[in-house]
Amino acid sequence: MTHASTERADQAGPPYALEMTGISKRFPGVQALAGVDLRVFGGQIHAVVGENGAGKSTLMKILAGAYGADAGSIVMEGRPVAFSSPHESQALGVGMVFQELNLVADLSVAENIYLGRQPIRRFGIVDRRGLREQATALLASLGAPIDATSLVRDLSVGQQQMVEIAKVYSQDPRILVLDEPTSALTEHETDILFATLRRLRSEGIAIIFISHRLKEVLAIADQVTVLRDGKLVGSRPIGELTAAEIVKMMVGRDVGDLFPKAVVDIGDVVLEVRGYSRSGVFSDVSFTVRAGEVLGLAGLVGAGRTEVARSIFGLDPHDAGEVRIDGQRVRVRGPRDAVKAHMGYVPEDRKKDGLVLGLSVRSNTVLSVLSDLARVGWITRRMETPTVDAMIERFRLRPPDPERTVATLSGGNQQKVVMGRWTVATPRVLFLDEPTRGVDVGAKAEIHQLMGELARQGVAIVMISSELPEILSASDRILVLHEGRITAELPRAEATEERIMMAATGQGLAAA
Amino acid sequence: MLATQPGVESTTSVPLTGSARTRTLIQNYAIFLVFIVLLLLGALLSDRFLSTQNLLNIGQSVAFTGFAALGMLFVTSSGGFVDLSIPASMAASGIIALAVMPTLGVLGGIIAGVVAGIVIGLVNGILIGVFRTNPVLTTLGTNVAAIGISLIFTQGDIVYSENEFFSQFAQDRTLGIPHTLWILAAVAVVAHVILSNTVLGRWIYPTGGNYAAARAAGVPVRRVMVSVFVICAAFSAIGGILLASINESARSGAGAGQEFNAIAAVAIGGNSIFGGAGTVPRTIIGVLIVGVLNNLMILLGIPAESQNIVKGALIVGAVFLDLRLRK
Repeated sequence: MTHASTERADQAGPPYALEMTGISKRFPGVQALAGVDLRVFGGQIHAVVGENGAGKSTLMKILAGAYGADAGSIVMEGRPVAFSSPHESQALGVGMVFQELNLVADLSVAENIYLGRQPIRRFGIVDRRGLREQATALLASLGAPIDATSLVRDLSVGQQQMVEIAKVYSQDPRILVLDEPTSALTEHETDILFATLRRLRSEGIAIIFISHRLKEVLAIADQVTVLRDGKLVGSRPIGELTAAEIVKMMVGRDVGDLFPKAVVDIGDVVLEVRGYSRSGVFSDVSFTVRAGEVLGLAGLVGAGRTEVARSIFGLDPHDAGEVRIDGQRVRVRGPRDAVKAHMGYVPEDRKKDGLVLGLSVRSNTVLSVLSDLARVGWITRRMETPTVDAMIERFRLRPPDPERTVATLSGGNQQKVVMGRWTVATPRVLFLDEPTRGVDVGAKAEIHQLMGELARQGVAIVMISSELPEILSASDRILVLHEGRITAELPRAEATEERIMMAATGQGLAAA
Repeated sequence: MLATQPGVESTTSVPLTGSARTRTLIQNYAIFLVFIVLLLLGALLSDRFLSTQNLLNIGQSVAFTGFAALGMLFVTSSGGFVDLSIPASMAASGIIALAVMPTLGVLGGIIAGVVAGIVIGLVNGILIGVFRTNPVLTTLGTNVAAIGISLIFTQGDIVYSENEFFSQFAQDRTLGIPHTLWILAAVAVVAHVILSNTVLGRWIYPTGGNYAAARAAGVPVRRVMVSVFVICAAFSAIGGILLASINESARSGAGAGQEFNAIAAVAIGGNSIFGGAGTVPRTIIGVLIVGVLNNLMILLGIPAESQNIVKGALIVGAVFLDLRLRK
């Protein structure tokens, strides 16, 4: 396979650590990969980027031996290889760190690293001291400040990920694949991770880094390979590219402002939260949101943003505080009270808290308004159809089929169904928790457009997002949380990434 | 700007291809084919099988399982898993109905019997729905306790029907069909209407399919759970009263084994035991398959013990299939 835009960084140098050529893979109904090449040198950090569904994960699963390719070849350090199982791939020196960590929470760090490979003394007894010393040395060589004896349960996500990397590293990989390693990390943890990756690079390991975060790709990668719709778009040294150029390669068009903010008249206060507290989680949270206003809730993972929203909506309990909607005190003992008070909640994890995957678009759409559509408890399809059809049309659901099982929809369309449900419930207040997580760029823009439409109708919107650009472009006002307390309130005009991060890391607004 | 969480890797909705559609069709209707094949098999094996009398025998013999299975369908669909206290509801309703009939009359007796069942259902529903206790252990416990109470109440004896009309009612026929089957048909229609055309019914499936999401959408999940156990007990009680009519008597052990038969029928019909799906027609087919199999085995002279082996294997097989199809 030759692509005009594919350039080799080095024409006559040493063989590639990994050379995947013309890889194709078809799943029923989808050509996941079509003749994709990936060439990685040892001692190189090679970023693979692309929208969701571009084929990154499939390509990596083929490298991991989880899938077999329909066509194409894999050559490692000059030798053609073929593997039919993850085990074989691992034996040949491919190490994988997936996003879902694969650790046993109640075992120690050392035990996790050497799980199934513990040093053994006579009579099959585990050599605990040897194990601890080995693990400590290994962690030190990675520059990871983690105690080998602590339980994995007690570690932060970033530390757990480091343990996972140590586990893979201990198997002496030639190629290390990291799939979205930073998505759950704080900025500080990301810095530690990058330091470790640079260390591994200097040892000559070929590192494949899959990420959506272009800022990080630009910071760490030597080479970038871009995939789109299962095809190779190009592979270039990082020095030749800017973020804007990578985005253009990913989406195949100039993106410009992804989340243009809708111009909306802001009305009276709709939601008023006073002194909301939940012991050990957040305390004394007070804020207001006006009709048509988008309030952004920013903060690091674990700052309590989701927890505050869940408690206001009644999904979790609260110890103190009150909620008013249009000036009326609302007692929320459970989500049903919140729904009755015309609040809506689009959860962070739509598969867990948002959708009934096994039911149809229709059933999921009318779930919150069944009693309103029904006449004395009696409901027929005909009574639901206008509502459901209107939602499908308005949200441009694809395919536009009300009887379709939600499980078979794409992530973006699933998210539209969750938002659509709350739209038909005519909310006064809508909480959106990471509304564009796991959806592709096109659907992202659509979701933001729909958010703007809701704001125009006078809905008070509270949006939680871990993406600062999203928060900055979509919010009228930004509330920053740190360790369960509000540490800053910034009007749109005054908000910058730096100011939000200062407040989110608890450094206050010293330089305001 | 483009950072998204992976693990949710899909851009386009996968369209149903031709073969997938065929597979769905087969999955949806296979059980009805199985039933027809079973009928043909029966006709080949025994010339008495397709006689009106034999078919009515089958209907009469599985009717009580039918009431229990229709009730069980509500519990399984809502994610309440199973109700093992069906035998208690069937026994208590029959005993109470016969006990109060001499003073309150036939109608009074029937109402009292159904109320007795509903009380058991309420206890189950409140424990499981509101206090979130484990359904298997809870209904196992209420079953033993309620049967214990009925044993004390009857002093371990059989309660006889002293009412001529009541003793004849269940087996008397209208248009050639026993009243038990008419009433079963009526209950099936009611069950179907509740599940497909009432707000409660439309809440039951999401509650069983994804409890957390249903709750977050404002579905009164506790009330749904209480309702399904009450409905299950009420349907079982109607079965229990008809059973008392047929037997012209009631005793504490009258409903023994019906919880098992009900689970078998629901599972064999292809309804999910784990919630979120299930229909009345499938349940009825499941009941009929159990009945026809029993009948065939009797006609072929297979001993009762072996019949149980077949039934047990069928449940395990159906649950296994359900698990596989969910993937």
